[in-house]
Amino acid sequence: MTYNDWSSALRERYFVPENAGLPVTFFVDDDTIAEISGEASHEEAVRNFSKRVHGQLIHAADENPFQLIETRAADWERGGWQGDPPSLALLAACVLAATRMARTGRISTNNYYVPFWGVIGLPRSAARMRGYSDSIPWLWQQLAKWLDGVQQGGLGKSTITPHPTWTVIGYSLSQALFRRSDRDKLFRFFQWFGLKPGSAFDARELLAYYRLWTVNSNLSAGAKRMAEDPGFEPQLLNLLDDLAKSWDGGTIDELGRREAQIHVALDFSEQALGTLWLLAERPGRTPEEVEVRDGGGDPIRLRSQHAGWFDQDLITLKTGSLDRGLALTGEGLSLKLTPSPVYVLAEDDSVGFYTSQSKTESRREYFVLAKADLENRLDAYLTRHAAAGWQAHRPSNLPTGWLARRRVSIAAPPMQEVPPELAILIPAPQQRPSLWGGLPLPSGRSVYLLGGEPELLVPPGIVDLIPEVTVDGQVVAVPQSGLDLELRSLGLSAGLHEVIAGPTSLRFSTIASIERVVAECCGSVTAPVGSGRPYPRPIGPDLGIRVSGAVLSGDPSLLPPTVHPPFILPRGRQRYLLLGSRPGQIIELAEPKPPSWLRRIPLFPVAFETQTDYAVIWMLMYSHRGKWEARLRVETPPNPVPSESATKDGVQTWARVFLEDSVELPRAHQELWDSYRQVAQNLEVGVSG
Amino acid sequence: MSYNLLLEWLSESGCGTWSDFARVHEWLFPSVPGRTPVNPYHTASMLASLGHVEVDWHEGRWSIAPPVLTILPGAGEHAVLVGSRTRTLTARLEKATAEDATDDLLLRVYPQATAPDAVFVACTSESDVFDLAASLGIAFEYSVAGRLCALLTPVSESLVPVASPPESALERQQWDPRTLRWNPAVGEWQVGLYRYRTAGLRKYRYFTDRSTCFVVEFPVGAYMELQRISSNLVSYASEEVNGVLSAPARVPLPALQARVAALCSGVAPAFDQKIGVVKYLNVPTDMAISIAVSLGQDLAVNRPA
Repeated sequence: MTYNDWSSALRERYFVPENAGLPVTFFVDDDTIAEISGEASHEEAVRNFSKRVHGQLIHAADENPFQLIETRAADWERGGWQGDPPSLALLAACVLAATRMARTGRISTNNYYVPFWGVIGLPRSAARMRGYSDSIPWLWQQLAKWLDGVQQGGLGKSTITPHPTWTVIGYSLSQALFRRSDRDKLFRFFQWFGLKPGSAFDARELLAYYRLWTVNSNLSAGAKRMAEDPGFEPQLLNLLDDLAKSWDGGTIDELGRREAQIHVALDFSEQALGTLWLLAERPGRTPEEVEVRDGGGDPIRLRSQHAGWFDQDLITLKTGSLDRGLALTGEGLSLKLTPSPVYVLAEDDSVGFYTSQSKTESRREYFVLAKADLENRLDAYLTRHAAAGWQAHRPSNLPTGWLARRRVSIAAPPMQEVPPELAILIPAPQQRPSLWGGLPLPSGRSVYLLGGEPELLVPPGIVDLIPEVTVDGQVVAVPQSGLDLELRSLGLSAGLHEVIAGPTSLRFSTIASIERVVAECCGSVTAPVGSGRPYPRPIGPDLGIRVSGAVLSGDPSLLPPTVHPPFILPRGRQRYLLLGSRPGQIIELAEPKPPSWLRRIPLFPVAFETQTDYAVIWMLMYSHRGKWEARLRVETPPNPVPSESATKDGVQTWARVFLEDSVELPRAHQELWDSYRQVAQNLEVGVSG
Repeated sequence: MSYNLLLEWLSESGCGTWSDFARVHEWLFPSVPGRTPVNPYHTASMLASLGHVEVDWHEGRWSIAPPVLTILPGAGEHAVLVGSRTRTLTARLEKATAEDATDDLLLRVYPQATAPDAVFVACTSESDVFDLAASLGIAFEYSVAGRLCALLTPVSESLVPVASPPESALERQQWDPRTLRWNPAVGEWQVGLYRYRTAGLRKYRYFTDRSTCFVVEFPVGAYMELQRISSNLVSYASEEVNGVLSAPARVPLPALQARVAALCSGVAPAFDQKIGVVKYLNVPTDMAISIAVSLGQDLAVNRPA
């Protein structure tokens, strides 16, 4: 391979359209060189590579050895960036030296230059060192400019970053610590963090949790070193920011294959008690139909019906699958059922089955499959921590040695220690502080009703990162076991509030009311009423009569008439007389007993109702003071003609009331009262005052 | 307290999806180990029966109902506040009925264990309540229950047919009208009431034969089944004024029937655990009969001794 062949091969390996928008590290080590050269021997491959780079250098000890490549690179830029970057093989040699240094675990200028001059086959000299300082950083900057400016990230985004301490060798270091495999593992970090594809995030917060996560991760030593070194912070921030923005929710395994889970699924379509199957997820960018092979090499065809699933072909549950798990591999694809002593299955709307979940949420309902030898421990746990109502269950093909429970809903995370086999039944909170619950209003993002502030959840195990939280400046300590703080218990006033929990900042606001009698979409859901048959009168659904609470809407001529209000009388009088405008329209009443249900509530009625078949004009009440008190109900002149149904006695009684002198009535009604008295006097029924 | 907060939240929000409702319900009524959790479906049905919310179970949406002051039938002149109850409305109502504002109206709040407070206004004249409603900017109606009752039709007439039965791999169950319980169902669809889940909501289908399928809500399908086997479970006990309508707790009244019955008193039906029934108070005899007829139930009426 010539020097130019190396440059092309390196470009094709690292900077390709498949990496568009993704951060790319130009990580080159001995393995990479061997892979690209195709040589069986690493030493031979590196020797050939070094020879080709060496051939492009100026060998005079008092000159800049990189001048020739720098000139070619400058011409390449002036010429419109045609072809591959001429510097790539030389920069690869820089990274190769840096990866060799990184393996020693000790970063220093000297530890870098010794392998570097060795790789390019030139002894160190003062002029050569000056040449490195003059040319190499510029070449790195040019490569970054080509990737991000000229190519606009279409072949991958640059992660080439200067280092505040290692100002000259930092560029090479920035590419030598973080491998492609490290980048792929970041997708698992995103899952751990609880990031959702496409959701907003704060890169600084992400970095803080990344540093926490790296401690127990299987990232390379270089990547861990990078996480610890504040000098790499700008590079890591860019890397996390770019990668998180472009993440589709999937993960990649050690061999670079897109990986996805195989779930246990419970299907009720054919058996009343359900049938267990295995159901594979379909990762993004995977064909709708794939062929995979199991551990024995047998082919299995999987087809997709619903997005995200290979659900058209369910995988038969074989003996031992639940105990030992299952691995299926295909072209760039790895599907796994991770074995577990307990599986929790929840209704999954995206596919229409009950599918096994990686963790339990409190208060959600599950089917639980567990090894039979866990029966006593499982039932004891459910008795103590689950809501009432869970029961034994037996799917039709439940494997021997397994048992099932249904309607399992864990009420809250247990405080006591739980047998490790049942760990999946501990509701797992997010890995970072979050707000949960509350009474969110549609008025805006993170707006809650006053008194309905959410809870602040801080998961256990991050007390080192978050020893305390502050709520509007009020400090609350975080115990080792985590924190579930009811913010409404703090008596916060309406307005904007801020929770600071380590690197996480959570803002929300509260309002006491929308300041309106009704909300905008009040009454927007209505229910149709009526039927197609004439019962009790034609009220067909097609007539458009609808109801919302106590309000009817529709064609007023079709709505039932408003119920005629009965006559209302205050309680506490001895006698009551109700008089109409025509002689004979009179009834006398006594106060009824109050309804018994009111006494049970208790409500104390101050009035009672009665119905009359005529319009009541005057209401007379005889009080305990021994007086008649008259109240006008409707201002209506008297009609001297007795009502058709009036009896002689009735007419006499009616007239006698108006001839009574001791009735108390408001002065304003005296004139009308007198007109009634006049009618009473004129009646020829032999009444007298 | 939680039910009041829930009603305030519903009122201030105005409308939303079922998942919004379920999420807030889960926060307000957390599960307790060993205890039966408060069921969000029951809560929503209770609020709907009291006229506070309207729920579209098929679309998975709800909205708060417009606020109405309505006088209860034969209840010694008490009006009850139905529907939306924003904090602004509550504050205005309290102010308008305060001692220094009126001698004719009296606000009485009745706390309920499993429902929001019932808010009553005692009066001596419906015109005072009418004026109060007008001043608050809300509707007034004398006995909404009576007017809604006039709209009751046989539940069998309200069915909406669907072309084909549901396809689902989720659990399917058939309701047994003799035991009032759900049993696992499989195979061909038979005459009867089925339920299954989809998108987090329970869906119900009623089959009048193997191929004719109707979209129903559970109470409608259940009373269809009870009618099919001539099982009469609704009863009525007369009192001095009106009476008590009882329905089995396992077979709640359909939404409109429940609302008619509940708005006769303005309080949530009482659950009698001993005999497993819910009791609606102050239901006039004619309304009880209309409800029973609409459910295909022969009403057993017990007269006071």
